[in-house]
Amino acid sequence: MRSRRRPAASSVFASTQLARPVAAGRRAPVAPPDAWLFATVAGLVAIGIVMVFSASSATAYADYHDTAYFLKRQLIGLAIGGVLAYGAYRIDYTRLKRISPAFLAVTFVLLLLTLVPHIGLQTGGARRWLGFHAISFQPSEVAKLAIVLFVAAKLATVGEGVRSLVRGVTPLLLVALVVALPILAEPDMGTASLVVFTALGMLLCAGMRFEHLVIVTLAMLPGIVLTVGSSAYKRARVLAFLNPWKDPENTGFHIVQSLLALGSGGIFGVGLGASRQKFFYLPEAHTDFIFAVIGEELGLLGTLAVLALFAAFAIRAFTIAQRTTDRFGYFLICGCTMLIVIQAFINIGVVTSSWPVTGVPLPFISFGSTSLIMNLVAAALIMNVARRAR
Amino acid sequence: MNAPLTSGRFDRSDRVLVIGLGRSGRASVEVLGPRVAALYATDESPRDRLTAALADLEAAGVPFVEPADLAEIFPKVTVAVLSPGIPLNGELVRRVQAAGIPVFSEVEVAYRICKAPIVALTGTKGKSTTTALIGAIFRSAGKTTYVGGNIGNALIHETAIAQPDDWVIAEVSSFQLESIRSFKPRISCIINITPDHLDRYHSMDEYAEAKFRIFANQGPGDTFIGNHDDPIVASAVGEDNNRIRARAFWFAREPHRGVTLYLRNERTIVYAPPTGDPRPVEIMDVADIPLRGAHNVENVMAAILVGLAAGLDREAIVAAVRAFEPMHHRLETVFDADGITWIDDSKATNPGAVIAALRSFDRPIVLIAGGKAKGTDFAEMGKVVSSRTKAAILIGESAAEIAKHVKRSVVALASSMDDAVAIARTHAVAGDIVLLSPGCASFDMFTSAEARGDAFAAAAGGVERVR
Repeated sequence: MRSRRRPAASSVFASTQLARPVAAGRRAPVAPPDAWLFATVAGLVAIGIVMVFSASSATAYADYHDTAYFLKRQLIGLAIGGVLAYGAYRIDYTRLKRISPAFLAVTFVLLLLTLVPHIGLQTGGARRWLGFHAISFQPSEVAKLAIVLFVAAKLATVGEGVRSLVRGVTPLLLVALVVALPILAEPDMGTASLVVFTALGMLLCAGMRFEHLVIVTLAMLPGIVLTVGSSAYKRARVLAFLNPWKDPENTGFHIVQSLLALGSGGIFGVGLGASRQKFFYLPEAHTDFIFAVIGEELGLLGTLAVLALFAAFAIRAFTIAQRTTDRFGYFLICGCTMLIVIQAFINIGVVTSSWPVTGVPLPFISFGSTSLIMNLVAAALIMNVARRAR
Repeated sequence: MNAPLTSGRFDRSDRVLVIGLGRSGRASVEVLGPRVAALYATDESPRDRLTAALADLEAAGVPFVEPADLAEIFPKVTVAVLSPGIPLNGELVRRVQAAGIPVFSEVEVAYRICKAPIVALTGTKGKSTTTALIGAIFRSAGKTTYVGGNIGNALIHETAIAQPDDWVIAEVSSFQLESIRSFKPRISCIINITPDHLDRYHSMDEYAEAKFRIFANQGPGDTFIGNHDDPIVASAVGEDNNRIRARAFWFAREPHRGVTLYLRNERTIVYAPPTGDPRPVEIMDVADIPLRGAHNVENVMAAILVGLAAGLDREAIVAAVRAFEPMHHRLETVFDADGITWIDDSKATNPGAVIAALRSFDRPIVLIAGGKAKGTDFAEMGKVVSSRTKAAILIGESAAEIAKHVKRSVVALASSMDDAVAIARTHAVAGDIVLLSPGCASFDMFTSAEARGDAFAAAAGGVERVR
């Protein structure tokens, strides 16, 4: 780790940071968050709460004899997320720069712990959780934010170095790959690839050269092929995505049920709460495949509304990024936005059979407390940086 | 202390005394005459030197007050304006200050009456070129631009007519900066600080401190631009890194961290935006700069960064740089025949400028140097002269002093410019450069650096080029 005290060149740098001294300190009233960002996130969360209840009620009643079981848990997540997000909105985000390596290191240790039998909790063939079952959380969700903070802090000072494969691109990508490995081992290919994609996306935002993108992609290709080819389950999923109707009872089951849900929704949908697919036909209806239930119950209009909200969120966030006055803030916005948008893109891609089946939740909407909390924190960080943008 | 605290607005509430009737003082009289309630002028020079100035005063209806009679008008005067040539600690100024009258320099007054934002530039060498280039850049971007200060017009002429949407580009010297109070440029720029004017300053530190006053009044809404490669300029941030309150942008030859404009592979000028999208933007190739010499790359970078900081269009900036005509008497080629290139760098009036000039050529050089020294040390210049020239022809008062520091090159002493050029001709062969880069003031032999350059050009044969 580089020392905190740096010689002349960087003391010069500090003065170009344009960071305004936080005037008057705590007494100053906090500006309200950016209206566009707040409204789009609130809209997505609202759709999420309604749809989680609708999509999960059947499963919840069958498993827990309480139709609102998942709704309650999601509301608790929302409450915790709201508190943490408020904190993320209020803090001096420039301080995160210094703690980002430590934060990533702690997260990495937690990721390794999930892999240890008896410590990591196992559900559905994957070890992804830590803690007791009532209060468990997914370190991989935290890892996404940790990698964004780390990469943003590094890119803030890399400058011309981002054009170098050896000094700029490779070290940062290696860190992302190392963090992705334990996630991949859980196994959670979706989140693992999200971590790498987000780091890559941030490098592109920093001005990474196109030739290097090609080189890096080619270099990672054998790894991807090896990972996918290594287990029959992953291979089958990828092949099923290419032609789900070949084996609709087995490997293509998820996708076929998802497409059936979307198709039966039509333009206007079958009506809120009237989904039939959620009755044990569509697996993971309230988590990874919630978008299919939205399509079935609210139709094309419902899905387009969700897409429009994500698009508005991303456009607004990147517009604000252009007005940031410090580089760390810029990369923080880029990273957090890409985290959310790439995730939405993959999730919707899976549901519409445009992307291989990988378990990635739809941000703000899918059931999952850790995911909701971390996405709210990410959105709050964007609004935090926006507060200081010109 | 009978002067009201509100004095210095230079409107009807002020009665002004102009001290010194040089170019700047007369400009002050001209501009302030219609603005203030009453105007007086004084000058310590002998009467016979002031004939033209007194005629001007008479025409403008401004009373001239003999220095000896000043005490009579002190009660009536609310503020005094000082011309750059008059020493701050001189007897005349002390008397005015002792009477409780605030004394402002012309540049301070120019600032106070200015409605437009000001770009102020200072440095030891290359100021005039860079100021002119910045002016060209702002004009190219469609701004109504007034260029003044050390070059051409007195600054007060420009600031008096500039409107709020216009820009004033000001070249300011360390002397002018010494006596500023509230002078607050929108953009300040220091291109370099090298030993010069040590006849006036006791030490390098004192000289640098005078230069640093350029950003003393700037706040977070203003911009400071500095040369990161110049160790003295870079030290402007102060030990605790909090001296510059303006946002600071730096240019450098290498892509250091925190440098906003730099060279990529020593070939391309690249801008790393400090706000918004941080991806570096290529501005232009060094090869497209029409000015010769490595130091001119720095001058161009300073000018580009000023333009970018003012939010000007990149294309307009580059177009202005490409089309920029080199300044006269600054590494200007005046004659080229028989393979020998005659270059006039008569405005190189300090050793640093000579070193820069010598380093900007990779051909054998016959140097003509010397003149009236300003108390500077020629040791450093001597080393570069020894390593870069085949012959050094020395003229003027400082010839012997410079000769002491030149080791390996042929040294010849000349009595006049014609003599120097004739000796140079005997040493130069095809492929060589004859460079007039005196490193000294011209006043021992010529009326100005321009006259010295013209004499060189005429002697060399480039008569038709002499304006």
